[in-house]
Amino acid sequence: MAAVTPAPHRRGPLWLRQLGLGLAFVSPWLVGLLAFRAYPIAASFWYSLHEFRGLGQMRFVGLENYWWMLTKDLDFWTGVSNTLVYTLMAVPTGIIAALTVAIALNVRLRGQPIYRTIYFLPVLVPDVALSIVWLQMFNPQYGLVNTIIEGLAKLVGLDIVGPGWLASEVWAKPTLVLMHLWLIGHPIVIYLAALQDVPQELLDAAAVDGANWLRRTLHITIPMITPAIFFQLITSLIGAMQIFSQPWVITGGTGQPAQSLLFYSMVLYRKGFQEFNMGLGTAMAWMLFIAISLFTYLLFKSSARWVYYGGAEERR
Amino acid sequence: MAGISRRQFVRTLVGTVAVGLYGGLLAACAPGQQPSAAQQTPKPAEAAPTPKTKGVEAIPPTPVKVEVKPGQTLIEYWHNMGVGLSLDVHMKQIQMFEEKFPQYKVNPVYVPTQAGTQLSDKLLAAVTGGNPPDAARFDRFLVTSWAARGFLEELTDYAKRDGVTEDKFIKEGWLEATWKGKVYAVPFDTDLRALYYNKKHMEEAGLDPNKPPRTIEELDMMAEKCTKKEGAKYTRLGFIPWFKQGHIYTWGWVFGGEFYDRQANKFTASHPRIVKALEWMVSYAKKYQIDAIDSFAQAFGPNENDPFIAGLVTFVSDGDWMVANNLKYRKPEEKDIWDVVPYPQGPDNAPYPVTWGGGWSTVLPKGAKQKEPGWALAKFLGTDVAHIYAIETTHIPVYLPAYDELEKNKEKFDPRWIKFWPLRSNARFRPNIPAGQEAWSELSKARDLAIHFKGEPAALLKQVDEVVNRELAKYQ
Repeated sequence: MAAVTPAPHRRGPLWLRQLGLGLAFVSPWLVGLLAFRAYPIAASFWYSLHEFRGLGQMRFVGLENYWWMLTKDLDFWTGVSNTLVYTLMAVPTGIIAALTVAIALNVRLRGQPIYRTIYFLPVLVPDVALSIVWLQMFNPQYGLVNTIIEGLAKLVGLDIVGPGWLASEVWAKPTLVLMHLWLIGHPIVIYLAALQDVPQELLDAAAVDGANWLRRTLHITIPMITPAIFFQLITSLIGAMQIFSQPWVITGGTGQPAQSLLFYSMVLYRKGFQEFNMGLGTAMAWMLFIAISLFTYLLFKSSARWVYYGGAEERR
Repeated sequence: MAGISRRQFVRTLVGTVAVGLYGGLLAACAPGQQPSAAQQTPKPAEAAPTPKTKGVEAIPPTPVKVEVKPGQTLIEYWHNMGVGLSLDVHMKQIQMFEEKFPQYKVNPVYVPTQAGTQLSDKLLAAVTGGNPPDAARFDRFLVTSWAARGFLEELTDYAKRDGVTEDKFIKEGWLEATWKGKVYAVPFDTDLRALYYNKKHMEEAGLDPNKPPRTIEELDMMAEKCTKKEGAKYTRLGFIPWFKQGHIYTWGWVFGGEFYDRQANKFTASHPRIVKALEWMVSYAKKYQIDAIDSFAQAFGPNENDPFIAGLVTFVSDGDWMVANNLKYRKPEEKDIWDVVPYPQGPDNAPYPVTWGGGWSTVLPKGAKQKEPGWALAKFLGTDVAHIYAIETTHIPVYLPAYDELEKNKEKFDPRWIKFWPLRSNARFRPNIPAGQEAWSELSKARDLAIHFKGEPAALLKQVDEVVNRELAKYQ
């Protein structure tokens, strides 16, 4: 197909009028964006260069807040290591779990919409309520989970004590990951949509060639839905690195036991809103922004090797 | 979709979502934004007897529309009481205020305080946003921190004018309401701590229930005898130092330590006796195995599920307000199986008896629009009706004339609550320093790390001193 060069826009009175109308229509959103997003983002960077208590005068300190957190603040590094460990655990397990459930839910059987609804329902429960319920479920002494584990063990003649779950320094983060898996409704919906989009003729052709279900899944279905996997990877990475509500509610903001649930966003919040150190808090927010941007960039770079865009033209 | 490839579409979508999430993060860090709604947990030190579930304060009362009559001034008042006895009594105090001052109408708004700190970050947001309430209930040990940072209105002139003066309050309670000699709050109440013990458990363990522990050594011995285990799980723990009101402040003072050198203006958590207190706490983590203790403690809750009321522990460090809770939530047949005694004496001839007090106050946040009405409410709650709250919720008054009312009604009170009254003369109070919040958080962290064997007590407490003193130095 011959390339067609579009004619340059003529910016006459009509164009200006249309531009004005367009801007007028989007102005409520634009005002909101500028006032509630752009300004606070810019202000937070400005604050991060100051010693600022939230009220009163600010004192310019340059990059001191950044230097301080990297070299002196022990909580900062506790938050970093806990968050990275959690992210490494939660993101892959979330993707594998959501993908597995989506593939299972894609099988045509009676009552399919009901099953899909059931898997999505937990997403509708607010984080705080969910945290409280799981706190009870994972209670090591009287919780349902340990009651089942210890009950089943007794049936086979074993007298074991269930894990300490959220009360245990070792189990606390894995427990949080288990709670996170409860909320895979959104990625399941995305995977289901992507699975519907996998060309049937490819699957049929592979079947004719003798490929079994596993080979068809590994070599056709999953490669075809890599854009959806990529999407979940990015969004869940960002979500995991910003984890806040659940550990905050569960630990009362303390990050106990043994600071094992003290995540980066909790430290950030403490600095800003409990220790009145808005300068340091905003500097930590920008550091997180930079870290997430870096990881996202690396993932985008890697996507050329493993994400398959069926309809895309190859760029050379 | 003409003109846009699938690759471009997905990339744009991912990018947009990413930018949205980043934006949310950064914007949330700008002052004046409302913090997350998810920050309500049990208090560390000064729990009022309002029912709570672990991790979250009780469900707040449903807001009721306040009707203001012509000529009345509406006072916006924030408090942190969920449901329960304290709230009922507090509302009664407010009703009495409205009856005495018909020109005022109060709109009491429940605003939960922060996670383990009693901080109201919503109040902080309201102050920085320029729209605070006229008055607010406020944890007194944080008054200095907030006043030093300019978050509270100064009340010195009002106090002088209306005779709200130091001599009418427990000295340290008054000090907590001031900063550099200026008044920033009206003290509301105080609370004192002691050792609660279960006489039935002691009997079962072959101990004399009329001889509670007098020294730390005796406490250690009795705790061991009263502990019960089934298989690998505890069914009862005799005593664990950090349960309930078992902060480092508690045991540091019991062991004879001092947390603050006023002359040098230095925080002194690494005082040798405080180090010894923390080492003693760690000895319990070793002896009874911290994992098993942590699991056991997860079963604790409020009211009937309080570990002492539920019979899960024999000895516990707790505050005077728990007398009311024990009376309210225990089964009738258990009303006489418990008692209270001052903390046992620490080693090396530590002072005896020792306790510590906290308490609440009423403040006018910086930028409060109606200062005179706000002050009228603060003064009324802290003086005129201080005895009402004390009597009905078993909180120790900080306002000295309220003791006259208490004495007059002495025969009406449970004798176990009366045991707390004389302790006020031996009470320590947390240092009223601008870094009070940091001190509390850092000490809590040091305790958590120490009992989980993440550091030596001496080193952890030295770290506390460094953090707190660095903050203190900013306010020389």
